[in-house]
Amino acid sequence: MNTHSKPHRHVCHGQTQEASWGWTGIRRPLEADGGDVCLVQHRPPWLYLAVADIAGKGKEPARWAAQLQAALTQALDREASAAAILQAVRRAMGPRLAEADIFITLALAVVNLEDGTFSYANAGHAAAYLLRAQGPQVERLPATEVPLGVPLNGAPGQERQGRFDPGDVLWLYSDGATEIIDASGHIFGRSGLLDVLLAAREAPLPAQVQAVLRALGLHRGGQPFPDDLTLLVLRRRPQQPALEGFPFVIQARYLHVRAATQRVLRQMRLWARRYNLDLPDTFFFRWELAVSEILTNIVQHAYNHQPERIQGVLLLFPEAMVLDVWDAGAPFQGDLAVYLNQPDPFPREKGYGLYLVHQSVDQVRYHRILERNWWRLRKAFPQPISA
Amino acid sequence: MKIEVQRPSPQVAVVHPQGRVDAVSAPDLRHMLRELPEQGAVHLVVDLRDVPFMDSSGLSALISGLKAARSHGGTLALVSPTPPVRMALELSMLDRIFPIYETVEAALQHLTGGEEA
Repeated sequence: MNTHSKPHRHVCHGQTQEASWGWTGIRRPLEADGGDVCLVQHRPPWLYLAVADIAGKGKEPARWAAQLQAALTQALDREASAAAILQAVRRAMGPRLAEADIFITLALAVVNLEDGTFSYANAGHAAAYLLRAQGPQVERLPATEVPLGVPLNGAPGQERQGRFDPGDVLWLYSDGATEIIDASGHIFGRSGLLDVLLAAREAPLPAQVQAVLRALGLHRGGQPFPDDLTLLVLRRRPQQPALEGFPFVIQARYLHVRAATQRVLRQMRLWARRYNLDLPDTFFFRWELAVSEILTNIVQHAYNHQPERIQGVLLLFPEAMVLDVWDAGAPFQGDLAVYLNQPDPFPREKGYGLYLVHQSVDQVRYHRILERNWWRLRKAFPQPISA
Repeated sequence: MKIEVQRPSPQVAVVHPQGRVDAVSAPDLRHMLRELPEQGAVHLVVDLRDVPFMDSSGLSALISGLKAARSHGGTLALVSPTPPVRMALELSMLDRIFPIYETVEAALQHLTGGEEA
């Protein structure tokens, strides 16, 4: 029996006290000395975030991880921008890495928590994602230069600079978050990761991390993760942050729709108790109907019964309950207003789904974004949750 | 979902689904409601007291059964919908299409003019 088979969790250390920012991270090595490195340092007004992967298992990754952390920490003392820090680390470690035939990929963001500006550099690591609250839009932040341990051909790369607006979310991660294979050999991929990040982007950060882990777990079908996994997420506080978030991911099958509907309703009732919300039974009846209908609609029309993934997140705002549902199926065709109205001629046998969604909640919105369907259902509380 | 059927007379069937009627289970209910009129049970009474939830898949099955019953000269009545199911009927305005009774006996009385009940 392998007593080391259960991966242990390590939340990346450090925590910002800034009220307008939040971050969280998770590192799940297969072994205690896994090849991923996750570093967070807060030196006001700067926040430094780094995720690195040491290539080559069984090559003393723990030793190299310790050296990388030391080199990074020293570089932070002397340099102010992401590119300069990266070059300092490259100078400190490059020759030793080349000699040992090891290379390290590293994504590094340096964020000024006072004005929201940031610099970003990436030495051959998986591209970070910056999800803009407006839109939403997604900016992919690819590698700016080669991995550490690989000789630079010419000048170092240019760092990326930008600014966080309220609600913007930055994700750094290791390839364990994308290179997950299911039983049929299909890779989760960047597309699978982006599905989750988009769907969960308004949830509180721990719920966003949970959303990624659940989606990866569904893709693995319960099998252990084959690689190290590191996730690190930073968000500038949105203007109207959700109080709670409940992410879920299901296969587009009717039995999963039923189970998800019941889980979402249980979560709503739990929050109602937690926040002393005095809601009539009809509030929950209507939501139950709306959740079942919108998920069933996706199974039937977006995916045409193909067992693809549906991502959802239930959000509790002070004034309303919101359900976001995302799928990567066929776009909704036709005039939404027609579907939201009573089926004509009446009564007819089919065509009540979206009409019932519309009748059950206050607001139904549909967007086609990044080749995905995004449905947002919203229903206000009779009285907002008081602070 | 379990569905019990009673035949108080050859022309009448009381259908008693027990459980959620959604896209998982509605095909079974639809099949039964379409088959019974073919077998002579042209008057259908659907007892909904043990259905805690019904979505449009279930409503669609009821309309399908209503059409089948009508095509054989009968009708379909509903009995004792639970509050969530009554709300789905009201939101869809199908409560205006189906006669709804408090008890199976009342439905039978109405459907058969008291002869069969």
